Amino acid sequence: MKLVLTREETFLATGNRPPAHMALKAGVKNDGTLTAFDFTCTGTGGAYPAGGTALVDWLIRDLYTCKHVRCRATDVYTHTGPARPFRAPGHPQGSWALEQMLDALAEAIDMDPVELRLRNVPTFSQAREGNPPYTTTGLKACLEEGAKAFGWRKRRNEAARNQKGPVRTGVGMGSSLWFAGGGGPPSTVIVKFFSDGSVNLNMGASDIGTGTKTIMAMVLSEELGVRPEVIQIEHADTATTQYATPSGGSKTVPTEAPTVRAAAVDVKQKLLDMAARDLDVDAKRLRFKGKDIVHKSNPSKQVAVLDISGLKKQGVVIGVGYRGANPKGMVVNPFAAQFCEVEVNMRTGEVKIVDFLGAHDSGRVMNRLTYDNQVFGGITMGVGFAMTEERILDKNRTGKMVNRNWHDYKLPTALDVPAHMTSVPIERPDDDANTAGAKGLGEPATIPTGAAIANAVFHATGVRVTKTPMTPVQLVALFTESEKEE
Amino acid sequence: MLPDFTYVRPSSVKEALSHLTEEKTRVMAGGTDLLGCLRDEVFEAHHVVAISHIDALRGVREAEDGGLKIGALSTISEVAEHPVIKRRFYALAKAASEVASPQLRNQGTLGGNLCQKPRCWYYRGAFHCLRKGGDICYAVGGENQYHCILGGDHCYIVHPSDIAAALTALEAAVHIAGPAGTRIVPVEEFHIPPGENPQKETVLRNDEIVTHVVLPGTRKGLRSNYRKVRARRAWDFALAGVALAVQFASQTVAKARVVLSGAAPVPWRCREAEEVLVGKAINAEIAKEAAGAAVAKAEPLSRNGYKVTLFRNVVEEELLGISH
Repeated sequence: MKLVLTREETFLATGNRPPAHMALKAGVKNDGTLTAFDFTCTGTGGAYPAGGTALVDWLIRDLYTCKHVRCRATDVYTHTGPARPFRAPGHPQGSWALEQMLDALAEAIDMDPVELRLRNVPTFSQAREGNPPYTTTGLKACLEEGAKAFGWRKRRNEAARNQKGPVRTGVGMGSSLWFAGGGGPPSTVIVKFFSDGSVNLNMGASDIGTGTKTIMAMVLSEELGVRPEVIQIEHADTATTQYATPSGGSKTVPTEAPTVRAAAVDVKQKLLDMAARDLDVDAKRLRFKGKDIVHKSNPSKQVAVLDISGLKKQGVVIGVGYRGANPKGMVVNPFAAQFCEVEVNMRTGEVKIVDFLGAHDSGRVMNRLTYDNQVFGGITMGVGFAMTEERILDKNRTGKMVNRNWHDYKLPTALDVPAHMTSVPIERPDDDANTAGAKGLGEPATIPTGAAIANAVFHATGVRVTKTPMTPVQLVALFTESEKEE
Repeated sequence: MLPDFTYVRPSSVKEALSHLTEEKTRVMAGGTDLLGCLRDEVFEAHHVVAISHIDALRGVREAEDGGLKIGALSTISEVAEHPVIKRRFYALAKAASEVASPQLRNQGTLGGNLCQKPRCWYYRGAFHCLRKGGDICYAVGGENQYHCILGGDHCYIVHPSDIAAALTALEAAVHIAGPAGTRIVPVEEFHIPPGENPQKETVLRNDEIVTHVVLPGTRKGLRSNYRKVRARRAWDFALAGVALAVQFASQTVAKARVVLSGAAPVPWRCREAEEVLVGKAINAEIAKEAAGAAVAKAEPLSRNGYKVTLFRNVVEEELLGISH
């Protein structure tokens, strides 16, 4: 079955990122110690009790070490269409408030924004019961290595010298974590190893364009010692594959990669058992060596995998892998810091995003190409969130959405996305998290983008923009006000 | 869903005109606007006459006076990239280059761009508005952030064409073929303000088609430009578009046209600004005065007050730009 919705139907029937109205008050000591956050948020899930404010407060509660945190969220029922979890549910909204506040705090105590964040990097999750530690915390490295690769201090100072005329330069940043991204059970994967050396990988998980198939083939290739091109993948077919959880939460890689590895290990164990019968030895004494299975201490005892009699007789060896539990008492979260430079025209409200850098700790880099694509894709989506996208309802009269088409609902185009983007992987293989060492990446990449741009706009103009999208429609008035004050 | 309609593709203007006799007949050139309107049920079509195979409507020809005769079927891309247009009528090439997206510029035509329907989201959406024969303009008291600040009268659309503003500034004219022969209308008089008729955008009658656009011969000292500010850097209509054609006699302005796009229901000539400029050298003070004059009569709606500032700033910036 295939369900195709028009753009109009998508807006009307599938739900939206819920709007949020947020207020944040914060305290900081002169040494950069955060003392308090007081956050209130109003949101709506439309006419349904479905999380208009869900997770909007999470970053305020968990991203930075802070002893006194109070968050209050109120969900209001409206007749404006249902909310849906939309990439990194709640997080880009909360980040928009929190990261701009961190910038304002840094300014108030005359501290570099990166430095302020570095002083408040947590090692455990303060928002969770019992304050469990993170398996790995790459936030410090994201901030330090990201700032270094971007040339943060130098560019920040250079930009500050170009903030007089109508076109001004600004440099800003933001950091984040993602509440999920560790994956988990259930998942079942079946691997068939055929007597001609080819392999079939059968799994329920889909590939929504993120590179899942590529990565699973690489995991299988690594574990079985076969070339990726001999692997055939059948997946996401309810008739022939196992149950899988949906592609969401940035959890496909950390859920499925260890499962694929487990299925491959099961195949290998079965091949070792078969080889042990051929060689008349204990399977525990055998190991894989290239295309062969060899005795650990007696090199004369060896057999090529494809010569194993059991494999030839059966034609296929089938391995099954199950996703085991995540480590007890620990939290698996990805971390990030993003940096950007903008050019702002004070007279027209035009903002050009010149450059972006994403430094992401998502554990092991499974495939550099798909990894970078996730980072750039997430930044692109964050650019839309900050700069162009807005659901506009005819609020005074009919309540209908007026911009429910491709043109009026403005997704960023290639020209709205910075021509120059850099991905700096902060590679910290997370062995506690799972056997692939990887954490999720898709959603984290879109969380701090909007706030980083707003911080850069503030750096360029001295104007704190608190509402999205940052188009000339609102910026012209804000900039005019600020010039009057100057 | 597209409605059912008959479709013919004549190969001459004469043949095309012979098909324009029935009610609810629509002319199609590139189709980029017509198909969208039909899909969105903005209006009906029982018959579609595709003029895309009429070779006589293609191409750019130079006239003896240094002017140009541009076929209505020339694509927006052809206009944007034509070397003579770029050199002598820069505002037109620039405006064309800022239209929509590369795909739409390759498919859309010059004539179609002049005849396009408004992009007002009430007009295009499921709202039975004044322009569609209803009783009210939903933009009044509604979501009017992209609507007009000048020339509104019962209906508050903005004219969406970048090119029409540039052609008005360059004093171009439209050639129109009809059953009684050809007539020539200045682009400036081609579009109909809503006060005159809120349901019609151009003077084109149902039995006529646009065949050419003619640019007058080169005038010495003429400089022109088009500047477009939009919410998104491609595939977007103007929040503020400014077309300038200024004829200089050494440093002094001999003649000027300042035409706005995205400001009014028709391409909007700012005569007050032009009057400020004529006979003067453009310095910071004059530019500021002319920019103020351009929007002096603006009457913003509830949510588009920013456009007054935006247009003033852009006109000022562009006047200073064109003076050096």
